[in-house]
Amino acid sequence: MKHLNFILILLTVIILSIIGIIFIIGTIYGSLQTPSWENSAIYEVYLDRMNVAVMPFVVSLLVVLGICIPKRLFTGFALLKINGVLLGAALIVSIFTTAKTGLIFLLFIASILQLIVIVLTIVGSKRLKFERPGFFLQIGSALLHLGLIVFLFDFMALGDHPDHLLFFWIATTFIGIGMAFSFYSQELSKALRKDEKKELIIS
Amino acid sequence: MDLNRYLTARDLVTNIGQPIMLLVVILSALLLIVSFQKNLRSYSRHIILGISLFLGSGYALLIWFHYQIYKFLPLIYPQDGSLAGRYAIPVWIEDEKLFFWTFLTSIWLLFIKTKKASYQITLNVVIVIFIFLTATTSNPFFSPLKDFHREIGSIYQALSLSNVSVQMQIFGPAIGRLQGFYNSTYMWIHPPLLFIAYSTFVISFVNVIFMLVKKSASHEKAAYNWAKPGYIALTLGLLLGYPWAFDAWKGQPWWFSPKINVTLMMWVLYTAYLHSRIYIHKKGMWVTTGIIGILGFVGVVATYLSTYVLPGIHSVGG
Repeated sequence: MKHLNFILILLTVIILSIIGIIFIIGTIYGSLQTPSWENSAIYEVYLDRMNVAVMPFVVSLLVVLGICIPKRLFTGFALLKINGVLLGAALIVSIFTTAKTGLIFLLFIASILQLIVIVLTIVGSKRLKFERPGFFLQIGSALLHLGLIVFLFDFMALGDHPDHLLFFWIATTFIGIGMAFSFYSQELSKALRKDEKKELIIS
Repeated sequence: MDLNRYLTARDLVTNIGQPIMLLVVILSALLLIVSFQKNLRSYSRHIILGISLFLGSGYALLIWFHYQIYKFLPLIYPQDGSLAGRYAIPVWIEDEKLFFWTFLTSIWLLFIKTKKASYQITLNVVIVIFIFLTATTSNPFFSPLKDFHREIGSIYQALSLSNVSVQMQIFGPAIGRLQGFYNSTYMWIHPPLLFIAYSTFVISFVNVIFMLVKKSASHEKAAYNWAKPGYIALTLGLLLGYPWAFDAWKGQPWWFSPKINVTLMMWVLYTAYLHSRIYIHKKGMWVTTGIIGILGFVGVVATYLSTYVLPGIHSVGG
C-alpha cells in the first residue's frame, strides 16, 4: 500500500513535469513567431500540435487522479479490482462514445467517490486510509482534490453550459478551502485546541 | 477632463517619486556593503525596514496618483457630454508591476530572522537585485503610467477636433479599454495574487538553493513554508483569471497562448514540487524536489518576462 502511494505520487510528479516541459517547448516556439501569429494559420497548426502533445499526459494525469481517489476507501486486492472496474468502464464508454466522454465519466465517478470520502472524513470513519493523520489535513486534501475534479469536469463537460461558471465557483471554493486546510492543518488544530481550552476554563 | 490637474499630479509623482527611488537605491547599496561586513551585518534588518518604508511611501504616492486620475480624468462622451466612466486603474500595471513585486519581497524579508551569514547575505543580494532591476528597467516614477498617458494624450487630441466621427474612432476603443481592462474587477484580483505568489516564491527559491547546497532540513522546511502561501495565491490567482479569460476571449483560441503555457508550467511545476516533497526522505527525492523547486522558480521568471517578450494575448507590446 505504501509503495502504491509512492508510485502514484512519483507518477504524478513525472507526468506534471513532462507537461511542464511541453509547455516550455510551446512557449519557446511561440516566442519565435511574429506578434500577429495568433491570427494566422500557423497558430491553428500550433494549437493542434499542442493538443496532440499534451493530451496523452492530461489523460494519464486524469487516470492517476482516478486511481488516487479509491485508495482512500479500499486497500490491496479490493483497490486493484475497483480501479480495474473503473478504468474498464471508462474505456468501454470511450469506445462506444468518445475518449472525452470516457474521461468525463471517470471524473464523474471520481467526484462521487471523493464526496463519500469527505462525508466519511467528517464523521470520523476509521475505514479511510490517509498517509498522514489530522482532521484538517485529511479534509483539506479531500476538498482540494474534489475541487480539482469538479474544475476538470466543468472545463471538459460544461464548457458552454449556463451553469459552467457556477460549477467553476464551487470548484474554486473547494480548492481554496482545501489548500488552506491541508497546508495549515497544524495551525488550525492548535487554534481549535486553544479555543476548547478557553471554553473549558470559562465553564 | 481636467487635464491640467492630471498633468500636475503626474509631475508631482515624478518629482517626489524619483528621490524616493534614489533613496531606495542608496539604501540597497548600503545593504550590499553591510552584507559583507561581519560586524555590520546585524544592521541588515534595519536597512531592509528602511527600504520597505521608502518603497511603501512610493507605493502610497502611486495610489494617490491613481486616485487623481479617477477624480480628474472622467471619460466624457463627446456628443452629449454625458459620463462614459471613470478610470479606476489598479496599482500594479505597466512599470508598477516590478515595483509591487519588489515592495512585497522587501516586506516578507522583514519576517525572516536568521543568524546564518550566508543566508542573510543571499537574501540581501536578492533584494538588491530586485531594486536594481526596478530602478533601471521598471521605475514607475520615471514616466508614470506611460502607456496610459499616451492613450489620454490621443483622447485629448481627438477631443480638440471638431469632427465627431474622428473623435469616436479614438473614443470607442478608449471606452472598451476602460471597461474591459482598466476597470475590470479581475485586474484588481488576478495580478496582485500572482505577485504575492511570485514574491513568496523568491524566498522559497533561495531556501531551495540552500536546501540543496547545505543539505539543510531547516531550509527545506522554510522553502516549503514560503511555497505554501505562494501556491495558494498562485492557484487562486490563476483560477480567478479563468472566468475573465472565458468572458474576454470567448470563441478565441487562448488556451495554448504562450503566456498561458508558461503560467500553467509554473503551476504544474509547483504542484509537482509539493507532491514530490511528501516523500522527500526517500532515496533521490531530496535532489528531485530541489530541482523541481528551482524549475518552478525559473517558471516564475519566465512568466514575468513572457509578458514583455512573447507575442500573444497577454503581451504588453502586442
